[in-house]
Amino acid sequence: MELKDFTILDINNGLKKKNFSCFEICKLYFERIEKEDKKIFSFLTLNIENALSDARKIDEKISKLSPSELDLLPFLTGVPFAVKDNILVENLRCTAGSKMLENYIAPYDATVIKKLKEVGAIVIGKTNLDEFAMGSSTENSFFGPTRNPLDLNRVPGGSSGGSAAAVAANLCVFSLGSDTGGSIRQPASFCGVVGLKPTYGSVSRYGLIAFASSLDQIGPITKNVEDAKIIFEIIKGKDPFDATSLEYMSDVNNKEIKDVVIGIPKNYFVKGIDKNVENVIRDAIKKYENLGCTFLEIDLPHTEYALPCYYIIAPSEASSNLARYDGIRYGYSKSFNEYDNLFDYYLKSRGEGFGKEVRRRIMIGTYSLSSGYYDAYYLKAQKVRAKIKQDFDEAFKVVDFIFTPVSPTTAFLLGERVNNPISMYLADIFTVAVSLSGLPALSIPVGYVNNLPVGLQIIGKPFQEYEIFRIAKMYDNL
Amino acid sequence: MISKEKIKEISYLARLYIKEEELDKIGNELSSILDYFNKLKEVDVSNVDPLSHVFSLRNYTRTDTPRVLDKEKINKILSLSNKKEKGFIKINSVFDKWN
Repeated sequence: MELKDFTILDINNGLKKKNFSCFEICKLYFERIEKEDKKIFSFLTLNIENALSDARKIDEKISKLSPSELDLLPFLTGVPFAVKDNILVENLRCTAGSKMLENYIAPYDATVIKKLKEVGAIVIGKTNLDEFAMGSSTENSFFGPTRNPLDLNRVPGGSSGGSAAAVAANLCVFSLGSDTGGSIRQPASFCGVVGLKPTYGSVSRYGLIAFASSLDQIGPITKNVEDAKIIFEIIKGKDPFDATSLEYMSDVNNKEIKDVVIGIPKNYFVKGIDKNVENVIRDAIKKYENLGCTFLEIDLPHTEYALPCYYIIAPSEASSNLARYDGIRYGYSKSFNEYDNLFDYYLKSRGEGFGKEVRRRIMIGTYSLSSGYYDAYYLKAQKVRAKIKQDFDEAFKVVDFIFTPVSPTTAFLLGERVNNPISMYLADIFTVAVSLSGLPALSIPVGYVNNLPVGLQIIGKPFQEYEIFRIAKMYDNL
Repeated sequence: MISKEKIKEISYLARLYIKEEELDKIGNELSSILDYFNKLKEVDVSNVDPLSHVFSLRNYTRTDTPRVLDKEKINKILSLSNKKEKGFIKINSVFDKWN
């Protein structure tokens, strides 16, 4: 049997019809990873033994089901998936792409993993990322860069680059990523797959290695919109272990397509955007127009401040979150005997355990929060954040969705931006404002420029993930 | 331009060792990033409340009952540290040589 571009429903149907067993499917994925991932390097750790033994257990369970029970086999039972290596899976190494956590073995499951395991999904491995999810290209991993499966000279985007590349290269059925300023949407766009950044608070962050807690969300990376919906359905909801998670109150209006109004922010199609990318997005817009949607040019006047605002707030939160890596309870550490005092011990353990970009962001964050600079940077950024959110609140009074490109360019070359932090940060220019406002957004592939995929970002109102799925699915039928 | 001294001060606050010869380079990078942040000066934020969290947060409380972890779990957590004794994580003395 050959491994095809299997979606969740393909696996579910195959298992129901007994076309293949869960064990066979898992084995095929591992064989494929063995063969293909040498070039791509999307996986950091494989879970071969556990996955295969779990698959056998599931096959046994399936064999005992009556035909009517088999018919109701939950969608995710026996579906192999990959997990970004900043989400904890019990007993598996969890590195966050850092030397700091090179040997860290997760002592418990993240809530999203617990939920997915409960419905029978199978973790096949952990995927590469920019160190502590800080980056837009997966080049900042301590373990080496992941390559874009569509063009090995190019980056897969980041920071969930390993997760997006693994789905695009058919090395798993779906994967989980995390998104702080675009880290699910941008790699999904660069690799031509679907990625969802859920409404802030709708998915538990328990067991996600914290980067910027007021922005971080876990979400699915999938081959199509239906799969993203199936996974979101399982992972959403309030969790007593994450006090910022919320009871998910789905906001559905089921408006007819001819009554749907979509906003196009005029400031998103100005400087910096690649002309060809713009054309692909405009073509996608035209297709929706043909369906009967109304498009409205909208103004999000504070758009140009979103990037500097984000790059103050996220590093500030990171500098505080990453203070926990003290080299004592876990993580990279120096030998105590070499140091006279704890202060030196901290300096050296942290100075050597963290990579360049992480150190850079800890420094920016510490500076922005330090006495004398707090008002000018951190407090100012929080106020600008309020203005940015207000822009969206105003826009959503008149529109149902907002469409933008996910990123101003297609996947760039490895090494092209790595020495220029600001040019790297620009890859997130269309995604960070959404994160700062806590809104849900989906990236779907809508075309190509020189054989490289272009993603459309569909932004919705808070808790309107299902509305986003509905409108995104229409694109498949165009 | 941020001074070498300032970079050193921030690196101590952040508990990050930076080699003497790297101070200038990091100072340059930080300066250009901070210049970029100055764009925010253009925004009038008078009468705007800072937004630290997108949805109004409230405190969730729970009864303070101890959760009993099984031995296996405790060992898993302890095994992550490099020095332990009698079920505790061991570190150098904090007060003796603290400067």
